[in-house]
Amino acid sequence: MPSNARAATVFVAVVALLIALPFVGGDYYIYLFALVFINVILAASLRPSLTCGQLNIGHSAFMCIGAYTSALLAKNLGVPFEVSLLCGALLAAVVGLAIGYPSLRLRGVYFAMVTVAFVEAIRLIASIWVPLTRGNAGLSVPKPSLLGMSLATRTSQYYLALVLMLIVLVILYKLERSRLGLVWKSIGMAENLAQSLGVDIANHKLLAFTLGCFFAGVAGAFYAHFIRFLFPPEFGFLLATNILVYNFVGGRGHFAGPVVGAVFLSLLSEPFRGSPYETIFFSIVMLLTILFLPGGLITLPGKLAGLRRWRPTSGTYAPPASA
Amino acid sequence: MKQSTPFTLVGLLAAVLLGSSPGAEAADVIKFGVSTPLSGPAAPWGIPHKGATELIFDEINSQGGLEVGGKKYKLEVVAYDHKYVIAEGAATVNRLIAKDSVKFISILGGTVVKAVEETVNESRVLNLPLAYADGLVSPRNPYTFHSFPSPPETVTFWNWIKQHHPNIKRVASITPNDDTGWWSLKVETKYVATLGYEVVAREFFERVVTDFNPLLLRVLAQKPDIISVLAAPAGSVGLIIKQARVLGYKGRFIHIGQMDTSVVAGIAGKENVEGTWVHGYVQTPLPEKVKNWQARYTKKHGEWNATSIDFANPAFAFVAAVKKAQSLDPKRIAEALSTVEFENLWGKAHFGGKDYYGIGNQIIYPMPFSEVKDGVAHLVAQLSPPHN
Amino acid sequence: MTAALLVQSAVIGLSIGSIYILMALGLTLMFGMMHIINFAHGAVYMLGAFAIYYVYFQWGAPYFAAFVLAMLLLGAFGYLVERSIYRPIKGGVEPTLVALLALTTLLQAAGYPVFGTLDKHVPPVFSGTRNVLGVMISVERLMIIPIAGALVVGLYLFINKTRMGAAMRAIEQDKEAAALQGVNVNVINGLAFAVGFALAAAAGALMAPIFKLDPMMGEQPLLKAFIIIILGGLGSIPGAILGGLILGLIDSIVATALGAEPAFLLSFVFIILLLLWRPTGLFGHAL
Repeated sequence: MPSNARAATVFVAVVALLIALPFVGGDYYIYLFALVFINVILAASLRPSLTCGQLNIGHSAFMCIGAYTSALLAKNLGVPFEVSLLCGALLAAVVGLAIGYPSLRLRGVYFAMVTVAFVEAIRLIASIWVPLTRGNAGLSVPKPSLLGMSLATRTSQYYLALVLMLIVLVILYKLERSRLGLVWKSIGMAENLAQSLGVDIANHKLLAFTLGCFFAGVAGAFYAHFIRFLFPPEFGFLLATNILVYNFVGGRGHFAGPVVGAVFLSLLSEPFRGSPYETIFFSIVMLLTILFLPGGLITLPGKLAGLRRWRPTSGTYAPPASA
Repeated sequence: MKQSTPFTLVGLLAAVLLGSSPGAEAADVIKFGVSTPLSGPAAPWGIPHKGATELIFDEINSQGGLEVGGKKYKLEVVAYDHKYVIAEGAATVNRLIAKDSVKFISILGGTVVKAVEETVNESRVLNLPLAYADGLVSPRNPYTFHSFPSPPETVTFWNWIKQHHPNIKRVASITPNDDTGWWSLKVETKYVATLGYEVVAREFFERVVTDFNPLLLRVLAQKPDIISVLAAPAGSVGLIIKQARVLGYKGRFIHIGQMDTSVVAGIAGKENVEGTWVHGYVQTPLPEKVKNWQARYTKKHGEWNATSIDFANPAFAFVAAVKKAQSLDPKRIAEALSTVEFENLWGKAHFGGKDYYGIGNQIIYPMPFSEVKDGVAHLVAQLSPPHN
Repeated sequence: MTAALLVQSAVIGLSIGSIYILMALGLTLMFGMMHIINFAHGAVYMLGAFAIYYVYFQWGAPYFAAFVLAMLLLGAFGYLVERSIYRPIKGGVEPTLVALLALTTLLQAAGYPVFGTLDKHVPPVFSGTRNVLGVMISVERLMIIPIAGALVVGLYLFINKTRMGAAMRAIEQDKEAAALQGVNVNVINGLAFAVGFALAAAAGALMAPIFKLDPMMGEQPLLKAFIIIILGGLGSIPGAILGGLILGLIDSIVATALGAEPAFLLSFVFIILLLLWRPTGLFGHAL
């Protein structure tokens, strides 16, 4: 079976399973998976920027902007959710453009540090601007609605999250498979070479960065109406690094890497809820993955298959290559 | 390798779903959910919260259990760690309600309890939280019975100060910059103003701050006689006291919320903490009943924690209400809670405060206040709240 | 804000700044050598403080012996981290960064069960207060200045006057050329980790009696140190000193005038603007 067709089959199977989940799993799993979907969007939203070779640790700031924009529009002006979500994402993108443009000339770690500084700056603004955001008192947020109907039940919110995630993933996948995606990859692999071939590096980087901000804003907006309580300290450095870690643990060589990373790490803590050792376990898994699976979890099946078929008898075996 | 990726996902999903089938529920067990910080900086509160609840339940279980409608039930604590993070708090509470089918919970932490307010109300579970939060005790939250004295209750200690230390006139207030801090400061400064005190400084700090010098320069410029650090965690209070003394402050400190004064005395130095007033966390002289509790707690958990004295309230209240209601329906237990009178470690307790909150869902009992002498918190008075 | 208050807050600012410098030194050294940001610096600072807690306070060793022991122990730990984490990753900047983040999370999370959940303290080593330009400062804080100074001088001598220092400088300038000249890059990288970790431990050991101890205590100083080394230019030691003093003054004066949060916000906005104006900080060189 050609790999694309096979991947498509599996994709359809997973989606079918996720659609069926509310009929099989309990209320809690619906809730849990909606949260996982948010993390998947966040992880995937960082990928274009990372592909271009930008070490971006700033996505919790753009999530924060999306979340507060959507929440405040809905709460104070009664703006319907579909509009407020779009506004939140757009504002995140506009701010991303404003910060991304002048940061283009920064290289490597300097770029990373500006994004870290930006995360802290946005978090502090959310906490200082009390008349608007209620600061560290936290902001309660109305439930999401769609076409005028309030999505009051967990099941309806779950499907909303699922649809949002699928839309975001399909868009990002199409982009990555387009000419644009190839240019991003070439910039990430050899910026100087790409430049000498006449690629407009600056604009392509900026586009990747801004697009990522937009989708982080989408995740933030849904998060706001799903958790229904916003608290500035939660949009700090820790969340930003988590989003980065999803990408690394999942694997950066494949589109599905961040998805796998986000799903795996989000569900990993579930069996340890009652234990104070949850974080210890979590970080050990993180460390081991980085050390022993440099390509991320996504390369694990390939490696296992490689182990099993180490004798050169099977003709179907292809050595794992970063796709 | 490319094609096997999605299989990983399917495998993960399947694994989780398989694990999701709710286990066979033992019919004769009452589950009580605890969502509290068991790791991270707030764990010193969460651990005694869980520990005190477990101790009370264990003692009832060892005597055969709790009798409801002629049948004996075992009590079981289902505790999850929320790390004082909103998203984790929401996840643990949802897990307790939706997965573990728990009908009775106790949540610790102001922001967490506010974030899940509506989930709790919609699911009609009974909540016995330990949290300072504006609007938590309110007619909007009929199933929430706040089981720890809040600033509106503990401000009563200022009457005692006015009577015993009339030379204190100028009050400065330093609290954490969040809902808990804002509400505490608002309630306390309003109350002391009505008693005729002059509030000369109101300051907020980030919980992560360790260098309070800039803030203290501002406060001390106002020449306060007493500095209130209501709602500040013990570690921050230790640093505030230490640094204020270096800057030359000679007055007293007061914290009318729960605070581990041994931690404060360690950080600030015994001599600097002398005379500090605090609510709860009494070390000596302990009434017989509390001494007994200390022995039992230490025996079960190995390490004594004085915070457990006041954090035992949710379990005491719950057991008393179930006994009275003779039912496991949260609604019936809530009705019983509004009227039941029970014993906690400090004496007779009930839920009241209707005149203040508009609903009688706040725990009321003779609250202990202590003064730190030579690094140890001595009980100075047990006082009732301004409202009943 | 009165003139007296301004002077007082400036004095406080310089004392805060000297603490920041200490934290930034090791960070900037490791960046200069390997172009990595040591995200574990805050966790090592925490371990340095807890080393003092046990060796000096609990077991009663003399403070300076405990101080040196803390630096040696965590220096060895740094060497170990280079061997077991940095080297297998083969110097990849991004995976190293994520691995160091994971290490930080691990050390912090393990800190609670190992050290206990209550905040710890270390009794003061130097007692008394001095009046400096109208503001009372504790002697233990004033002592930071000579100790930090001694560490800076020691670091300077080590880098400029020893063979190992020369090898470190060679690697900083050109890794391949240094390797061709017979410098063992692995050993020198291990050494840079060891020195960087030892400096973080020294900062923690020095702060332990002044502040309080908990497993998360390194987070805030780490963020401050990030700001400082960006301000001063990554890899520049004079830059770290200047950056530390500037940030200490901003933190103190703005916090006294407006409050701590606006001060913190201002420092972040300041470095964003600075980097946009000078992409390599005040003293940094191009990558």
